[in-house]
Order: sequence, then C-alpha cells, then structure tokens
Amino acid sequence: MSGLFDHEFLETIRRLSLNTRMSLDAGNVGVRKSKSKGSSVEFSDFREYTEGDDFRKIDWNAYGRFERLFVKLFMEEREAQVSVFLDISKSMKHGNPEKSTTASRLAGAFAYMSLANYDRVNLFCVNNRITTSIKSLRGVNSFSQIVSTIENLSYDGESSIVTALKDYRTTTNKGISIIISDFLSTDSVDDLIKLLKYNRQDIYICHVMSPQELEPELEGELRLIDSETGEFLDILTSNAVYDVYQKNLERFLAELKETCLKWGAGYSFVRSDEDIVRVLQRVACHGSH
Amino acid sequence: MGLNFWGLLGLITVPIIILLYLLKQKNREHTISSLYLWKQAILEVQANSPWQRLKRNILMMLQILAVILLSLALTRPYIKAFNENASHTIIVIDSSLSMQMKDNKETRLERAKREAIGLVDSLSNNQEITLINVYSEVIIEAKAALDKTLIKDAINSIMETNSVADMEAASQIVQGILKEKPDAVVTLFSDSRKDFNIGSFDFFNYNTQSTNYSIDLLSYSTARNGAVSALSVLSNHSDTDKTLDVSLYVDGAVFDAKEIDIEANKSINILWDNIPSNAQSLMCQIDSYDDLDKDNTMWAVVKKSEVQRVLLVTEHNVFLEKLLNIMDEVELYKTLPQATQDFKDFDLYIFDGYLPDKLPQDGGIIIFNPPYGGEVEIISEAQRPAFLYKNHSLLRYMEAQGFSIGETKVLKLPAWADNVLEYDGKSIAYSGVKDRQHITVFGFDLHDTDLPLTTAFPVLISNTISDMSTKSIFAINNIFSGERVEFVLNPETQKAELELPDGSVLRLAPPFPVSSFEEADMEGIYTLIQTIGQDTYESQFAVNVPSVAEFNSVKNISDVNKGNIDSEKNGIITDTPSEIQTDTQEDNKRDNTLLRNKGLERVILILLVLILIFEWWVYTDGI
Repeated sequence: MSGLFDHEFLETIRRLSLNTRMSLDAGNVGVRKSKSKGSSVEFSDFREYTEGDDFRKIDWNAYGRFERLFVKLFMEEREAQVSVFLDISKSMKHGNPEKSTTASRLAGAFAYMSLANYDRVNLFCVNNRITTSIKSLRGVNSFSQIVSTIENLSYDGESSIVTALKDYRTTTNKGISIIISDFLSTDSVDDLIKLLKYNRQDIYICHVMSPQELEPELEGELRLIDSETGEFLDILTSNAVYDVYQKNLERFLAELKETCLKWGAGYSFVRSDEDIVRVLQRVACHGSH
Repeated sequence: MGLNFWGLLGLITVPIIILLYLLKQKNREHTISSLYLWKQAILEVQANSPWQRLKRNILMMLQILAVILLSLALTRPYIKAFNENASHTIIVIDSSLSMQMKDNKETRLERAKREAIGLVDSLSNNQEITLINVYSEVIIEAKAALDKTLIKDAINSIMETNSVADMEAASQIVQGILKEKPDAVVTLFSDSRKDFNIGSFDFFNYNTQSTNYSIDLLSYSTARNGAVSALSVLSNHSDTDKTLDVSLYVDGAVFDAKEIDIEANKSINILWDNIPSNAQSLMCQIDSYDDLDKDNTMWAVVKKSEVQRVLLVTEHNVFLEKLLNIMDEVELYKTLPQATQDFKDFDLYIFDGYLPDKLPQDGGIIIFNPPYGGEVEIISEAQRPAFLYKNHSLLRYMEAQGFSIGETKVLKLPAWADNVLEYDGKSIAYSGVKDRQHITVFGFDLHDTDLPLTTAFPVLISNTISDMSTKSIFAINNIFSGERVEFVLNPETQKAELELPDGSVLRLAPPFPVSSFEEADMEGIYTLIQTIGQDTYESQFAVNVPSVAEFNSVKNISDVNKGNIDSEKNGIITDTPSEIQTDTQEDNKRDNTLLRNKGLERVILILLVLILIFEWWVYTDGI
C-alpha cells in the first residue's frame, strides 16, 4: 500500500460505513435500506457492527459466540451508486499539509467504504473538466484501481467544477455525489448543487481548506500570485487587511454551508491538518441521520 | 524670516527618494492557492479605506515631507519674533556711519527705522517702549512711553551720523534699564553687536555683503626744505579686486590722480610727492562709486610749524632739556629757580620741582614735582603707585606703553582740571584750563620714574607741549566726526569763532572759558578764528569720518583688546585685512547662534518626529 492509503488507515475506514438518507428505489441489490416492500426480505448476511448502525439489528447470539458485535442483514437492500468528485485543480496542491493529500485520502476512504458496502463507485477527477473518471466499480477488490488512479493524479489546472459537470449526466439511477474541493473559484456552488440535484443525486460536500488559508501569516509588501491563473495582486499587509480577510473568509464559509443546508446537501468542513479518521467519523454520523 | 540656504542642499535627496521608489524591486512574490478570497478582501479594504490605494504613495510622500522638513531644519530658519507678553520693550537703533551704507537702494538706517516702526506697530498698546539712539553718543529718545505715535515720530527723527557707535555705553544704559525692568525685551537694530553686552536680545542684523572702499588715512610730512609729501591709505572692504581712481586735491584744486589696483579686503599705501610747500589743506578722494560714499574722502590740514618760546625752570633736568632741545618747534630757554621771579613773554613755562609765588599770566604752564605750599594742593605721597591711564588726549599714542613711578606726590584734582593719571581714586597728574590758562601738573619728579628711558617720554612731552600751545591747534589735528573738540585758546583771545566746512560761522567765545565743541559731525576743514585786539589768528583742523574705526567695528574684531580699540578710534590701524575677514566669519557665526534661539528648528523637528511616527503607524497597521 502507498503512503496515502496505508494498512492502518484502510483498517480504520473498513469499519466505517457510509450511510445515506436517500431512499433507493432502483438499481441492483446492495446494502442500503430500501423502502420497497418486496418478497425477498430475508436474512442475508452478517456484518460487523460499526458506529451508526441500528443497535436493534445486533445479533446477540453471535455476540454470545464470538464476543463481537454483528448486525444481521436480512432486509432487502439495494446497492447505491456513489460518485466521488475530486477537485484536482492546482489550488488543491497548496497548504501544509497539502489539501490534495487530505482530499485524496478522503476520496479513497469514501470509495473504499462504498465498495465495502457493496455500492457501485464512480470516481471523477475534476478541474475545469473531468480529467479522469472511473466508473461502476464494485467490490473491495476494485479498490486497488481507485488507489492507483488517485496516486497517479496530477493536480493542475483551474478549478471550475460547474463547467466540468455541465455535460455530466448520470447514466444510472439516483445516487450519492460526494464533492471534495476547496471551492476557491468563482463557480456558484448553488449552480453545482442544482446541477447534481437535477441528476437525482444526494449531495455531500467536503470542503477542504488549509491552515494557511484559514490563518494566513503574510507580512510586508507582497505580490500574491494565484497558483491556478497566474494572476497577481500587490498588497501591503496590515491588521486591517487581515481583519477584512477573516471576515470575508467567515462569510464565504457561512454562505457555502447555508447553500448546502438550503438544498439539503450534506456539508463537512475539513482542515487539511485535521485527523482524517475524525473527519470520516463525522461524515458517517452525518450519513446515519 | 531668515534662512541658511546651504541647508536646502538636503532637498537633493527628494529626487533620489522618488528614483528609489521608481527603481524599487517588485514586491516579494508569494504564490497562494487562489486570489479568490484576497481579491474580495482587498476590494473591501479599499472601499472602506480609500487611503489604502494610496498607501504606498503616502509612505513616499511622508518620506519626502520628512526630508523637506529635515532640510528646512538644516537651514536654521528663524523669525524675528518678539515677546509680545513683555511689558517693556527697549529698542536700540544704531545711527552710526556704517548704517548709511546702502543695501538695495535703501540705507541700513532707513531699513532699520522702517523695521523698528513695524516692531512698534506689532506691540500691544499697553507695552512700554524705550527708544535709544546710539552713535558716538547714546541718546534716550523716549523712555517707557506708551504712545506709539510718539515713538514712531522719534524713530523717524533719528538722523544718520558720521560717528562710531558707542555700543558699550549703550549696553550699560540698557543694563541699567533692565535692572528696573527685568522682563524687558531688548531689540537691537544695527550692523554689529560688538560690545553690546546684554545677556539676550533680539538682533536685527544689517551687516550684509556690501561694496565699500575707503580712504583710511591722510597724513603728510614736511621736509626741512619745506617740501610736502602725503601718504594716504586706501582700503578695499569688498570681496572683489578693484581698480580705483584716487585723486589728491590741494587747497581745493586737483593736484594729482592715480589709478590704483587693489585686492579684495586689502589696504594699500599711496604716496603723493611734490606737493607745494605752501599747501594749506589736502583732500584725498576715491572717484569710484560704492555703497558708502562718506568714507571716500579724507581731509588733512598742513600745519606750519611755529616756533614756541619755552622757558624751562629747573635745577637740573637733563632729560627734559635734551628732549626740548631737539624739538624743532621749540625755542628753549632755561633758568634756575632762583634766577628770576618775573615770568612773562613765553608761550610755555615748565616748572620742574619749583613754583614761583605768582604764576605767569601768559602762556601755558607745565609743572613737574610741585613743591608743598604752592598753588598745587598736595594730599600725600605714594611709593611705587599702581596708577591708571585716563582717557586723556595727553596720553594719545602711548596706550600700549607703560612706565613705572618710584615716588610721587598725590594731588588734589581741581574742579577745572581733568585727571590724566589716576592713583587710588586720586590724581598724580592732571591737566585743564584755569582762567583761560592751560595748566598741566605731574606729581612726580622725572628722575623718580623710568619714563625718560621709554619711548613714551617724547610722545608724552610732545603731546603736552602741543596741547598747551596757544599758537597751534595741533591737539585737534585728527578729529573724527562725532568726537568732541576741545579748543585751547590764547589767554588773551577776546573772541573766538569757528568756520564750518559749509561756510557757516559759529561763535565759540565769549563767554569764557570756551566750552567743548560737540557738533563736529560734518566732515571737512574747520577754521578757528581768534581775535586778539585788532588782530585775528586763524588755525585749521580737519574732521574726517571714522572709516577704519567704524568699519572695523562692523567687522567685529573680536580679539583686539581694549587698547587696540582705543587705538582705532585715534586712527591707528593695528589689524590686518586677513584678521578682519576671519573675525567677520566669527561674528556671523555668533549672530547665528544668537538667532538660533529664536529659530524654528525645534518646531520643525517636532513636526518631523510626528511625521516619522505617523509613517511608522501607516507602515505597520495604520490606514
């Protein structure tokens, strides 16, 4: 395994499941609950209990035998289609640690958890277009393909997910779309969510930002250069400028969160220096609601 | 307001600052993920603080402003400000010769009067004003006056004089006023503050760069064959070399003219030969234009030596005898004290250690070592007295030469006499006119002094004989404008008149004794006319402007001692042009020092510090 996805990390995410509030009424059988009341509602399998599972489904007999918690999968469940949109624009390559590292691990984790839950996984690497896409992966054995793709990604180009997804049409049924980006672009998040909603997607946004963007430590007269466009801005740093920047940043974050709330999209803010496991646990909790 | 323009050289750095800003390296480049948030922030900051856009320019402008202020501070700007809160203002105006110098079509005195009136106008109505006019005399024109109109009229009435300013006397008077009014503000309007010894005062300095040439001396000598030759000293007080036309007039007619090349700040001697032996008056004149024409002309009267009959009454005095014998104008007769009791028909009587019962009635009298019980009242005797020279004409030309006295009689100074040598507040030599008769008394025996062994001896005796002569007025040969003239009239003179250079005649006597003449302000030839019976006797003397003394006063020679200064007043040039130049620079320095106290540097420097603080604030977090 590579540095991005070491064994310990994989072991952690294995135990996390990704839940969605979205009800599925189409697609193949999977491990997601369905509201369909078909005849095939019967015991299917055991699965180790993970945080967020309904404890009423715990098989206490199995616990008595193995002293480990298992839940019984006995309802009809259908596989979900999980699409992970990973922003690979150049801006993601900044920060310490780099946002790209966090974003890549998140994308891998989401993909792995989905595969482990028998979901169908699509991975789209996006800047202002979809540069790489892997579609309809199934089973954890496919995860190596995900890892290989993520590890070979080149973070470059300008970020414009809306432009990239303009012609995006899901060929399958409803699903979950996870967007991992810093959203530092002029693109309207509103438009992005609307576009995905139009494609019947349940949307989850992972907003990744670096500590340097949250608390910039710049001094003196500087020429700030945009890593994506090469555009520059001469500034003379001062407390006044920092104050306005902070206010602007807070407003930016608040607006993004509000937009997500408005459209019923999940939102999680991630610092690039934050422990990835905690992030995943937070996301899993959110999904179980 | 005044400036030292050299300080403005600091402004050279202004274009340098601008150039540095133009050539300044680009801002430090820093690549960030995106400008998205920064753009909005900067736009907002600029919207809220319009100065932000100019912030960098503000720093540059502040730095330029700081440099300008620093340069301004280096110029040592000052304003002629007055203490308007003072209850008393003393205005001292110099109306001496040098104040007649023209700067910009206006004489210094005219400008001083104009600015003094401006000062008066600027004062509040409840401020008392004392106005002092300084020339050879010190006149208090107005004392503690509140009426500004009166003061301004008094200022306007101050006339230019040809004399030397007696700043020492003026400062003594001002000090006296300051004792009564300690908070009084003193303001001096002059071209020199030399000898004006006041702790602090405002000084309106009119000593600007000027072009002036002067005739500093005109003297003559008569050879035994009667041939007359003259010597004049020409000075160039400007900073440029010059060729000057100089003419010599004999008895009012042009006798000779010369073209003289003279270097800047130098003096040069000009010799005039073959002057007719019957010449009576000489006038040397510079024909070139300068800023002060009064000192371009100098007069001299050619004296004809007249033999005086002098009777020396002494037991034995080889010093006097030898000296009098070699004096051309003296026809010496010597007698022993016991030889005669009837003294008459001599121009001068010299009694050495002896006095007759009855003093002679004609001619002057010189007494050495008077005996007790005579007409000279003796108080006591003194051994090796430490005596002082008084400022008396008998001692002229011998200020720098001293002599010692082993034993002398201390004399009571009569009311009619002036003290010549003072000892312990009393007199050991005096001179004066008693009942038209000139009497000089020395309390010591020449044998008890080393005077005959010094060069002062012939000078003193010559001065004494000349002053006491009734046949000449040699004593008033070298008179400068503004000086007091003492006339020695013949005891038999019944009427004395003085013809001034402009032809007007002034009556001097009767009444007798003749008072001193204090109005010799007009330069030129004066004629003293004495009437004895049916006969009239005329004698002339010249009055000249004190060019050297006054100009040197302006130049402010700081290292000359008191003796030298007195010498200058008597026409002896003791300094060299190089000294003059050096001292002028020194003087200017001192003036600036004085004026700096009234300068604006402190205000400017405070402003500069505030600007630097503001700049720091702008740079760090400011606007």
